[in-house]
Amino acid sequence: MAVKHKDHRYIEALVENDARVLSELYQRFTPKVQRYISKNNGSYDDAQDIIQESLITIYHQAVEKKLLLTCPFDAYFFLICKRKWLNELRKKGHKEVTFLDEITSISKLEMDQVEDTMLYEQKRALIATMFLQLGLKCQEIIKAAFTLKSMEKVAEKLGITYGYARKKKSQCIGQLTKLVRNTAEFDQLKND
Amino acid sequence: MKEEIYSLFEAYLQGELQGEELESFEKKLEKDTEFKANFMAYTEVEQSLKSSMGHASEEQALRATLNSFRNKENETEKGSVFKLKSYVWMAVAASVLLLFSVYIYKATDTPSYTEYALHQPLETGTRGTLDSNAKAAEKAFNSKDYTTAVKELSVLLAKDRGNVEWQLYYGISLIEIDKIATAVTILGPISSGNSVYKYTAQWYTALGYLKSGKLEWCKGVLEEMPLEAAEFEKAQELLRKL
Repeated sequence: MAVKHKDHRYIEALVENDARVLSELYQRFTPKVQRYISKNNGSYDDAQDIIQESLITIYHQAVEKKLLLTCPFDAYFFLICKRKWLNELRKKGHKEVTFLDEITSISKLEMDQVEDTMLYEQKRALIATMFLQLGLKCQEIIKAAFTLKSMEKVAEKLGITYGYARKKKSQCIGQLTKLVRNTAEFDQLKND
Repeated sequence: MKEEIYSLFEAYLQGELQGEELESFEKKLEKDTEFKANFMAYTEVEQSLKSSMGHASEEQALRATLNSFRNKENETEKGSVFKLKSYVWMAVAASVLLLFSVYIYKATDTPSYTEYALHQPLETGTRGTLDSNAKAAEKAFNSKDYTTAVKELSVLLAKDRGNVEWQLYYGISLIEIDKIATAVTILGPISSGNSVYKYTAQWYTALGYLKSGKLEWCKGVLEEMPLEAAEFEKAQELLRKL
């Protein structure tokens, strides 16, 4: 049975955009990431980007998947930033990466939680990439469907009938599903 | 035909299938693995789109908050005010220490917190628009009912997180009710920022340490009070007594 860790409040702060707790989060947890990235070919801005994107990923996982933090935030957050930075370095073509680490021991619980978030992030990125391969009409209807309050509003905005809007929405999501399923990457991402 | 399946998925997700239709859908989910895999993937994609597009404005707001910390770091990084950085660090370290250390108050001849804790009244009325929480916070703070003040100010901050004046008074109220570790984490960013409350926040951080008996921390903060601060003389006086 997964038990909520007391550091789960940082996850809640992300969801609620609680500046007070987030300021504490920055003070407590980001200097370590900053140091790690500085020592591993990164600039101040690189580190800040990685920190922000990691927090945004955690935010989405919390909103979409009701992420429950069962381990301390410290190592969890550091490892996510670290993985993201190593991915960045690989993208930039750095083959050799120095591994200067401040984390000495990682529990299974922490490792699992990190895996979970990284997997979530990969899926999210894959869906976002494939979305751009959809036709513009489909992109438009999907955007409208998820930002406007009702399908009636979507129909009105796009000047189509309600019935057609609904049909088109499911077809477009279906098309995207097909695109995503056809990638090699999708097979590697196990379903949760 | 193939496309019809997505309309069916959608209808199921919206809870629109009933009776026989629903039964046969669920039976198919159980028995047909390809149908199930397709449905699971569809759901996954649908949820992901809903999360990223449906929360786009919330994400923007969160990014704005996160950016505000980033710029703060940048200012201290770029400027010559190296001491500010070490000061923030000290505040963090101290707040952690305060959380775990046993509270020991030495009743010696050291100056007392109450001697120096003379607060400017909170005057939200000058801002024009008055909501009931602002009024209540003002009333509570000015009549020294700090527990209520903390409650009302946290409501106000939930509505307007960037309001530095409220942050400051929230910090002061927290010191008054002995939540000093929390107070220090609130006052820290104000004193490393650029608002008019910068030095006041620094002064109150020192008072927080004074109240909790962390005299060395208190001195450290006071020593960093610059000449141009309105609180400079008070800080020097308190330093002498310490």
